Amino acid sequence: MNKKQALRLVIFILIFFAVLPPLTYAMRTNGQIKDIFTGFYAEKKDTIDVILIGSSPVYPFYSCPEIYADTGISAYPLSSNVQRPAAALPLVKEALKTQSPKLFVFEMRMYTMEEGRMTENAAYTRGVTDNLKYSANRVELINRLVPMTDESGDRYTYWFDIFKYHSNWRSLRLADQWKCIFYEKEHPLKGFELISDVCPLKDEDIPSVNTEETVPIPAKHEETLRELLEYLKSNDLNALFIVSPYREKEEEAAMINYMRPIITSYGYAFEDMNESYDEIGLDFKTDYQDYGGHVNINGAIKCTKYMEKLLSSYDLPDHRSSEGYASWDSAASLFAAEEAKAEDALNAHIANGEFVDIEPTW
Amino acid sequence: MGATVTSFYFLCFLLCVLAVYYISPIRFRRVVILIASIAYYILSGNGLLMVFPVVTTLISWAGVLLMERTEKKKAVLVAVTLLDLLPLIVLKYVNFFINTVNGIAFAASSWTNADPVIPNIALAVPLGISFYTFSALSYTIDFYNGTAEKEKDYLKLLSYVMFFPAVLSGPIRRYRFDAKGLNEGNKLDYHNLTFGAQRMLWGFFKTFVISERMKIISSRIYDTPGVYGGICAITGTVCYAFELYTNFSGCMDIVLGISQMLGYELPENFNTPFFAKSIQEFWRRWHITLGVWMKEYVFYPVLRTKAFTALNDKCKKKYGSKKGKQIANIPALLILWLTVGLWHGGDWKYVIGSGLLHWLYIVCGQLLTPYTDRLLTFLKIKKDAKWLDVLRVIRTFILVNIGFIFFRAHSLGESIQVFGSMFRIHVPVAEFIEKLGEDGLDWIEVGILLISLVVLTVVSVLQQKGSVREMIDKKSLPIRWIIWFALLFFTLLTGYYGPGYSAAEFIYQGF
Repeated sequence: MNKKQALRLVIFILIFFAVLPPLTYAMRTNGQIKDIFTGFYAEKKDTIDVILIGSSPVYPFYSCPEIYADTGISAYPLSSNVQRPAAALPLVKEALKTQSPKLFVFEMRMYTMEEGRMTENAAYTRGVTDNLKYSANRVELINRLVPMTDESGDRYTYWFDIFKYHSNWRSLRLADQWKCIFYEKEHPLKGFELISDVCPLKDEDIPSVNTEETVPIPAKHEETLRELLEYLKSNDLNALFIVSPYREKEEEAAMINYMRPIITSYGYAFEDMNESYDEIGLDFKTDYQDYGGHVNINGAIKCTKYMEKLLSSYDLPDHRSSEGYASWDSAASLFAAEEAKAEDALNAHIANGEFVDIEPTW
Repeated sequence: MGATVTSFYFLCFLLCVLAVYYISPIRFRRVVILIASIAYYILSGNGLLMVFPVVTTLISWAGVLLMERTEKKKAVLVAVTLLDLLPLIVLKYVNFFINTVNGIAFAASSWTNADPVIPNIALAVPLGISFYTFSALSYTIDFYNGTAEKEKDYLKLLSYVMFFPAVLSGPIRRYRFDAKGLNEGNKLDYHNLTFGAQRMLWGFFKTFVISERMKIISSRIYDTPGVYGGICAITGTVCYAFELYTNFSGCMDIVLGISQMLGYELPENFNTPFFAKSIQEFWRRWHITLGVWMKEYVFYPVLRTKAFTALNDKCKKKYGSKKGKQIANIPALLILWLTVGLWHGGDWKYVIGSGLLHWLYIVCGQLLTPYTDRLLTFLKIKKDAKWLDVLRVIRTFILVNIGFIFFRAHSLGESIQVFGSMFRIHVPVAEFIEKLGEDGLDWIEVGILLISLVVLTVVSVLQQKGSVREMIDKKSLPIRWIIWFALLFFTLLTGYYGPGYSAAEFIYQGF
């Protein structure tokens, strides 16, 4: 083989590998989580002040357009369903590649859940691994979330997710999928999801946990938490740890009690919002979409206001009317319009007794 | 890692082998092949069963050494042949024998006693047992016949027998032709590397895009035998013919492509078989290496036995030279096709569908030829008329498909059931189409399948004129790259592979 032939071979392979990632990005399954992550990557460099990392108790709970409208703070969720604690650190690193947030907010509900329950459905793992751009952080994420001993034999499909998503080729007819070829597509509501469904809790199920007990969180999570705290500390990153309000169980409350001193010992604030139902103004009969697990638009407005109060303790800038934040202004306007519609729909559901019919998960 | 050459892990393994092979000094490259072959056999889940090919090779190697030192060469040959074939016969056919005995006992008890007389034996069969056994045997026989030199180095012979691309699914090799070059260490060659990769890609296209889609149709017929008869069963069977062809020849394309990338040429196994005008020609185009191996190592030796020589002489005297030879060959052909049928598997459906049926076709063809020739002369039709050739191709395709019914059905009984159902007129075609949709084959998928079949047909037609890769290679660089990138991404996107699909297992793998 002469040099010219070798060069030709290398160019052919390079073209293939240059086309492969955009093609994969376009074919990754479309939906809310993909939109959140492509929206994050689409944000201008160093424009986000607060990054919220965690599971589903993030993106429907805190309306970033509303936070911006009220305070001028730009916040964005890097959130996916049942996001495992081990994902937090690679997500922080990934966020730091394009943003210099002044605060990270970590939602801690998943730290109370056994790892086994979170790995039952591969879609939860893929929700985060398959929504990152190809990078060293993604490799680290896969290594942390998908064990070498993965019995399905599909571990390679996390590395090269074209093997998983090639069967989505029909979705290439959707213009929206082509907009994702660089995995950057602006999210009109900055990652927030408006939900107007209602699923009220019965009186006897409304949580009133008040325990001083402590129960250790799973050892793996504790190790992960300490690793994260060490990283944040050593890189001089500011963070706030929260537990979004939900229908918590006694044992979970005890685990939250266990986490608190670990976190505060590193000098970071910890806020269990389950201790502030009244202050937040939560109504478990009207503010939740699934028996107290996740809020609807009613609950989201209340939680957002409370989050704004928490953020006011930090020195965060007001970007309203600043240059380069036009998309945030648009998001705030859109949210205002959509919120009104969603609230009307939600009120109609309540008035008509149209409640979501799902199986309680507890 | 899994045994299949289409698995992701195998491709990683191959990349490693290629890298190590070409980085190593030329004199060590044969060692790389041997280590890779052993590693592949172990990693593909065979583990301890690797003892079998190692011992089989040792028997053949030692047999030749012994032959060299003794006058009783024939006795040694017989002993080596029996010893080499013993694991194959015991592991692959003991349950066939048991099932046959049970079947006879069942029939003898007036079909009332359903309990088997002898229970089946669970045996671990080393993958590719017939492929490596035949490769090893060919060495001993070739040496005996004086057509091959002795191989002093056992490891070189082992390297040939266990050559990793071919050990599990063929092609079946003959030592005197196919051992050359493997142990010499090949230089990195652009042509070999690119042509090999192109051939692999073509194999992936055939397997993932065509075969796996055809499988949906054939499975609907053969997994519910008799439910959809008439045109549905005929369609399912024709689709199975294409499924089997694209699966097996696709596998061979991958195997031969890998081999070419290593600079080593394996024998071709397919040559557009559905263009064959007769059954004999079909077998010269379909699983070519099996046909050649069987002819050379089974058929000719049988003909050379005293009994058949005597029969030949007798028939020639009675019926004349040509016809006498034909008649004398009939029992030899029976042995040949019985062996071919048995090679396909220890089940009567294989013995009949892939063996005896083809024997019957060939014998009937030979016996009827004078009469059909006379009929053509009477009707004033030229024997070499083009339209007649088309009819011959169609006839051969239909006959071959009847054999495939036996091959695909789960049992002899089910094959008869499917065959019988083909003659039904009123069939639920709409329901069949609806079920195919439920199985994943909607109209868009059918469109992909049809486009792919057009590509396959065009390539097959072009292959009659020579190597299609050579033809493409003569085009300008942009045209070449457009063709290969189009095939690459078309296969990558529309292929049936990865999670959610059952991995494309090769039908002939592990025989």
